[in-house]
Amino acid sequence: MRIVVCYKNVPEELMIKVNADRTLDLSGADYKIGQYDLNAVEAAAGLAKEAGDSEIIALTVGADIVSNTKLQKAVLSRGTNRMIGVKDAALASPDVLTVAEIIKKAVEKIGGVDLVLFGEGSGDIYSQQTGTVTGALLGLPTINAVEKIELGEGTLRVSRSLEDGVEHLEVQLPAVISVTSDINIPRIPSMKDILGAGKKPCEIWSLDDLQADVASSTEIVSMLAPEAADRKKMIIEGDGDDEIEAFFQQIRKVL
Amino acid sequence: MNFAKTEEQELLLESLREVVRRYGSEEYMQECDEKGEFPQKLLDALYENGFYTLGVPEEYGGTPCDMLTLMMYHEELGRTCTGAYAIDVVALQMDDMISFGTKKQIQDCVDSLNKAGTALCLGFTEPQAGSDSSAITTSFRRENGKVIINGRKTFITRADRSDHMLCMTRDPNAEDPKKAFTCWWVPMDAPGITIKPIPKIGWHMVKSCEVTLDNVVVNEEDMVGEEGNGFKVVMKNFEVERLVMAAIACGEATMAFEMAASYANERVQFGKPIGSFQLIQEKLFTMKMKINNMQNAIYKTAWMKDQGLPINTDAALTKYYCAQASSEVINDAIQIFGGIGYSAEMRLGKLWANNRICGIGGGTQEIMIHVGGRALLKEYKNFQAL
Amino acid sequence: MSKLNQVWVIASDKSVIAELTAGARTLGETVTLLLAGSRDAAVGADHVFYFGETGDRQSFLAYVPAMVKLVLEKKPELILTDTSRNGRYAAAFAAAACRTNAMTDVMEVWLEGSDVVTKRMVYGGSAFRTEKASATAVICAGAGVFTGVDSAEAGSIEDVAGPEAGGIVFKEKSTKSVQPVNLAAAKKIISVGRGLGDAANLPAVEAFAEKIGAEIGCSRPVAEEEKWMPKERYIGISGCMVKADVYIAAGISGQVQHMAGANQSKTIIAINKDSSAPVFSQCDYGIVGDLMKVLPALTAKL
Repeated sequence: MRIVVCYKNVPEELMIKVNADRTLDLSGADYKIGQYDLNAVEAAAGLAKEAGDSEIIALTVGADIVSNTKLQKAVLSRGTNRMIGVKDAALASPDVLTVAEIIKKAVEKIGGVDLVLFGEGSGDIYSQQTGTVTGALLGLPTINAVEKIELGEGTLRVSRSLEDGVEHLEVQLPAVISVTSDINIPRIPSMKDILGAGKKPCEIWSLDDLQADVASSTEIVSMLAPEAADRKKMIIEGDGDDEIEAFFQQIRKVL
Repeated sequence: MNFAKTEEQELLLESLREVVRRYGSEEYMQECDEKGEFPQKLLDALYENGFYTLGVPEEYGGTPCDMLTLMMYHEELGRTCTGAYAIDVVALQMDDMISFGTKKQIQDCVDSLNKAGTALCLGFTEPQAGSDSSAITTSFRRENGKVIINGRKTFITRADRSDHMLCMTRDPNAEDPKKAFTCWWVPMDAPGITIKPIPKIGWHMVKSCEVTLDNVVVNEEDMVGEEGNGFKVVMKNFEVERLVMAAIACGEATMAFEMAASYANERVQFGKPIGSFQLIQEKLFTMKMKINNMQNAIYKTAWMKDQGLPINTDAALTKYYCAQASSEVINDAIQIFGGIGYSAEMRLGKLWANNRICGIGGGTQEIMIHVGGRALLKEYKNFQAL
Repeated sequence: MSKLNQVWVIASDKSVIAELTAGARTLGETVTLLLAGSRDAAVGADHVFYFGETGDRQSFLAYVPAMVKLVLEKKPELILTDTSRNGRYAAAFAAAACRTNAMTDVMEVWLEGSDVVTKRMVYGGSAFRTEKASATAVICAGAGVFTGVDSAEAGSIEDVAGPEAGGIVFKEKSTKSVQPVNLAAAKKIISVGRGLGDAANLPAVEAFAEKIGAEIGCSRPVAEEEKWMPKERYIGISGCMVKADVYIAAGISGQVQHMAGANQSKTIIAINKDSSAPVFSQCDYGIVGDLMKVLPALTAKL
């Protein structure tokens, strides 16, 4: 079984700085694999193990971060066989449609793909769209919100988690599936996994290799940090009787 | 001189942090500390992820690594988990046994490890023999083809959960006092062994015990290494053991420092964050300076060991410095927290108590000076200045 | 300000449709509903295209290709869906077909000429992003974004048959009883985090909530990891976004992802054992103490 699992390298939120004009400064932030993507990678590993004779290709789209060897090892230490990164300077903050188009073309170029897996959403923007849009563009059976996958004969039996229950569906392969974070608990890579990661193949493709381009079908007007909320910050230390009484007096008017 | 960690080391530490986050949470650590229980869940997870057997050769189920990486692992464990001290340093225990033990003894260790258990406890110290290790009186004698051991050991950590003790004994009739010591592989369930935990001011998650051996019978095959060469067995990795203790102490100090530095930004008194007062800044400054120094000493000495260079003096210097500096850093952290720092619910108090043993166990501060002082003198005997 | 010509709503749930169609009405001259679900959910719109039953009969997914076909035929300027899983799926397919990006989890929507502009949070709550789209724009809006409600029966209804989604076979649905919770509309909320310690401590929180007439919410770990409360109650960037008058965070450390869901509230009150918890720099009133001591004491005083 050949599985392509898509992931995004995202900045560590806590390290994002705010400029004086409230714009964001991502330049000093470390990057990591998006947390929801880890569930997809783990799901791929589980399916491959069960199916036997399988290959998992980890696929990512971005700018320079795609060539970061530590992040490559991070994804390769989680049960994947090889990694492909589509890299271009214009892909630093790509929109959903651009990424989906690129993934579609990459999947077609890889060929013979049985399953394309995505996490629920990217760790930074979390639109929860890319997987489903990719499936729509590929014209393949597409399912989101999947919390369980079982292997069938040329099919998958999936449980789809909705707000008021769980749908049980059977989907023909090849298919495109986005999984929720309930589907598994991602492994913690062991030292052995980490040492082995450096030996697995990594390929970098350009937009030319795929004959794809970057389009922006919506316009980002602004991205600003919230205005510093003017909170009173009146804190009482301690939970003795006196302190609780003082606290009560402070808050009773608003309760 | 490359001071950066390799990507593999960084990824390893990220994995370790995740293990601690999931299985070594502060809530669980507090529970184990309060109940005096061993943090088995954490050990199980460290075993599952290969950390427990880091540094053990692959053929015995481990993942080999260099000293630098081993120190990073212990330092990070010390920094992120208040139960770090409870986890055995398996790499060193196994190396002692692989170097001197029989196939059966090594297999016993592997069997214990595979249950996510303790491979062995070190039966060295006695009530009258701490720093003066050659004052041990636990004796062995041969009788009817068996070996009988009698004596009393004390402060044997994890004796209650070990399957075997690497027991140092002396032959009371040995002609050459330098060749009087022999090590034996003693099963802890042998008749005649009594184990009694000693209440301590810290290190509550592990039991340090008085172990009495009353006519304990072992066999000839239970000898570890050569007769009369007992010291060689236990001393093989003592330098690295000192480095590991230093690494954990450094990690503990870093944990305390990070908490204090963060708090200094949050805590407001007299209308300002206390971090804006110079006396607090001075503490933070010197705390960080000490942490840098500790790290530099630990990593340089580990690097020397990896290069095959002798580290007798440097290991002593490093452990001495780290025991001293880490205790100062933790003390300063408590001071910065003020009243809350003294609260039993905060982890600083536990760090303080747990850290205190660093200048005693694995060789006291005084012994470190004794080791290093004499060695330095010898090194500079025929010194030619430029 | 002039409105768009056609605004379409794609949804299944009646109360969601009542809200979205009312919102659509503020943005468009005509409101059309694409409905898959129960026929009696056809409210608010001028005209309804009805695709079929969902629930335990069929998956919503089966009807999406037919919806997309209609979208491409009629080219509405704006399509609104909700933030349910089906809503997001519909939005993705519509956006792919219209070669646009769906703007999801929007907090505000407004028109600038014929462009649709939205505002949402990104980077785990660290920033607001304002995004603009021209026709056809696609938006996923959660509860509380639009304040009106239109429950009047829809103008007209028309059945639409196929094409069905290929390669997906619906087997069955196991329903779970959902306690309807409307945190987005709640004026007072008491929210608990890991500091609660144990699910057994919930009665103390419930007693306090009842005394002040508050809804109960929680942080993500309490719902997802500890499972002390149902997922519908978790507040945060990937859960509910609330705008209460009073928001009490008890045993919550105050991480960005949670506070992003709560900090539009008028007054924020924090109770936490840890004096260095970030929540204390984001609240109006706070007490450093054990919530299991503080809450019962407050309940008694009220």
